[in-house]
Amino acid sequence: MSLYHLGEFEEIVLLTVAILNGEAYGVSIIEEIESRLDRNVSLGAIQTVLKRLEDKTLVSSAFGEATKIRGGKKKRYYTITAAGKKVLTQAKEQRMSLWNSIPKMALK
Amino acid sequence: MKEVRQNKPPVMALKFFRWFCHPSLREAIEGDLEELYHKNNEKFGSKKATGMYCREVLSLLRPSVIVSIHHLLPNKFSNMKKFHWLQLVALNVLVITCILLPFLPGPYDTLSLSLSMAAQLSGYIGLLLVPIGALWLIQEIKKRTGKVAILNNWRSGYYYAITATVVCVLFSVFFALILLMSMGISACVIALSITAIILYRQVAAIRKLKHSSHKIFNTAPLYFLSVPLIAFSVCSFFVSPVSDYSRNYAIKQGQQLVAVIENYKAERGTYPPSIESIKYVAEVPKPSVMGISEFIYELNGDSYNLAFVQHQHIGATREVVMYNRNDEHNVKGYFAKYDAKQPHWKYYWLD
Repeated sequence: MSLYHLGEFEEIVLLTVAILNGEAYGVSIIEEIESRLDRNVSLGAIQTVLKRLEDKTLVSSAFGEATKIRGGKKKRYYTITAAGKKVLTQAKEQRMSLWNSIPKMALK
Repeated sequence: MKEVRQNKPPVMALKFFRWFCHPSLREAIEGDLEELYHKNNEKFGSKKATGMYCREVLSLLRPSVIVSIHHLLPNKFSNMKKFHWLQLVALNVLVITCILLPFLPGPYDTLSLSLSMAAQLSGYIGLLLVPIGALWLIQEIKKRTGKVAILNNWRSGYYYAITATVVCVLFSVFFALILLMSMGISACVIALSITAIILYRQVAAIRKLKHSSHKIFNTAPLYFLSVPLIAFSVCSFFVSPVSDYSRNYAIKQGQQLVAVIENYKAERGTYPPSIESIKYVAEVPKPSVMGISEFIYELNGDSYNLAFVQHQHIGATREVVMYNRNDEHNVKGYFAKYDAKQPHWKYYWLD
């Protein structure tokens, strides 16, 4: 039984936070998802998922630097926590187990 | 960077975002919004970037981002407790449910018609309370914002409460008279007793208004505004589609009865003289709609009529839905006639 059940979009955001490795904030997460998955995402959707992941203690956040392009507003950087890594690993293992269980003929 | 300084995100959208966003998230999201705006501005130009900015702001209208409902409401309502809001919402939901009750599937219930009539009347006669509620609400808002120095009987809401009470009592008496005519003296006495109890309790509350303070926000005008307007809107826009649903539902039940009648004819060679004679042979389906009492059956030449009555706007429009396999429907005194979805079924509106 997994610690937390991750929705599809939650998993994508959590993976992206992990990919960005300390450089994940609202805009960078959107750009990463759009470039890697060719999928349009809104800031509202990202914020909702990040809030949910933070509530589940799968990510943690901290304020970073303020830049001119942001009108002097600070970035909120997200990093994956130990629990987040564990959940991702578990999700990967479950998927791999499912993939490995598919008979070779079925995907031909 | 020159471009960045020249173009600014749309002010109204930004103000809207700042209004609804939770303070703990505001800075980071506002920065994200601005960064996205400048990037889109460079890519697509200012017009498209502005549109995209507004869309992003709207996409942030989510429970996880917005502050509590109390924060979103103007200060004037901030001392309304959750209980008051729940009470207000519950009353409105109750009125809507009562209006729609006769159109819902279920066993026939005479009370559903009376409740619906009372709720529908509150939508029409209750509109008299809307201007009183609106003026009273303005006074309450002025009172809370401190724009009123001295409270007189109008500003404290005392006279508004008396006016509204008189309208409510007249409405209750009118409704009690309708109950007397439609359901008998017991229903009338119960309605009048309930009115008297409520009135007795309200008198004390109204007296207190004379000594009302600036700090207390009275929620009564919100009831006088919301209940009649919501009831009126439901009567105007929802009764028709819901009655379409209940009609089709009852017709579906009626089709089963038609099959039973046709079986009777196939077995005996003639149509049954009355619906009672079928009861000994097979189970007679019922309309199964709370506001429709029963199917009415009568022989008509070499065929028969099968009908039921439902109320569109209770007390105003009666609807007779009739089946005749030869399309020889014989409803009299109607002012409008329509074909139902099923063949050989027609419905007529009568005053």
